[in-house]
Amino acid sequence: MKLVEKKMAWTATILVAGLILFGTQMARSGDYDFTTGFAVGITGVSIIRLIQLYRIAKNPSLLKKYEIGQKEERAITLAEKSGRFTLLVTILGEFLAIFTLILLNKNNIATIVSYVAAIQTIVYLVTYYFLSQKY
Amino acid sequence: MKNNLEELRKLKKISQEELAEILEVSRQTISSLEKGRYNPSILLACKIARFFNKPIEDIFIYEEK
Repeated sequence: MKLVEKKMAWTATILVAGLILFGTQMARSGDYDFTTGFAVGITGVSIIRLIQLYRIAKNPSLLKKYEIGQKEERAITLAEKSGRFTLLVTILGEFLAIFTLILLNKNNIATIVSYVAAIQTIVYLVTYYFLSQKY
Repeated sequence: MKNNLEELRKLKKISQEELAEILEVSRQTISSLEKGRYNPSILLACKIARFFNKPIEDIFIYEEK
């Protein structure tokens, strides 16, 4: 399967997930709320992305540029650097959120956020360990 | 790391776009390499060296700080 086809498959999956989320939420509450808005958002973005990917797939010159852009080492390096920075910001944000929630006496939510932060940290450490064994 | 990529490319009379196509990278990567903002992997450095038919150390200049 070509890279662009894989991306189309993923995008289509997200689109279907968005439609299911919208459908189930509408069936449950019968009204528009945050969840339906979120579902409409991801569905809309997925439709636009699918159109883009379809245009790329049908144009050999665009397809070559797209594949190079996705696979080339500088793009991968930039994505990895962005990912590292995002992880750092996310974890710092989570710790800030935990302290803020504790100050606001929202201990249950603070506990959930702290679990998420802990899981992220564990996933990072486990991934680092396995990668250090591999490389 | 400094490099002679721009001079070598101009000697060959090819554009950044053409070199990018040959090396299967984006034009932005060639631009970043030429400006010394990005250091290539050993794989890309080898591809560049092979294309210009020169040893890697003639293209990329390692300066110890």
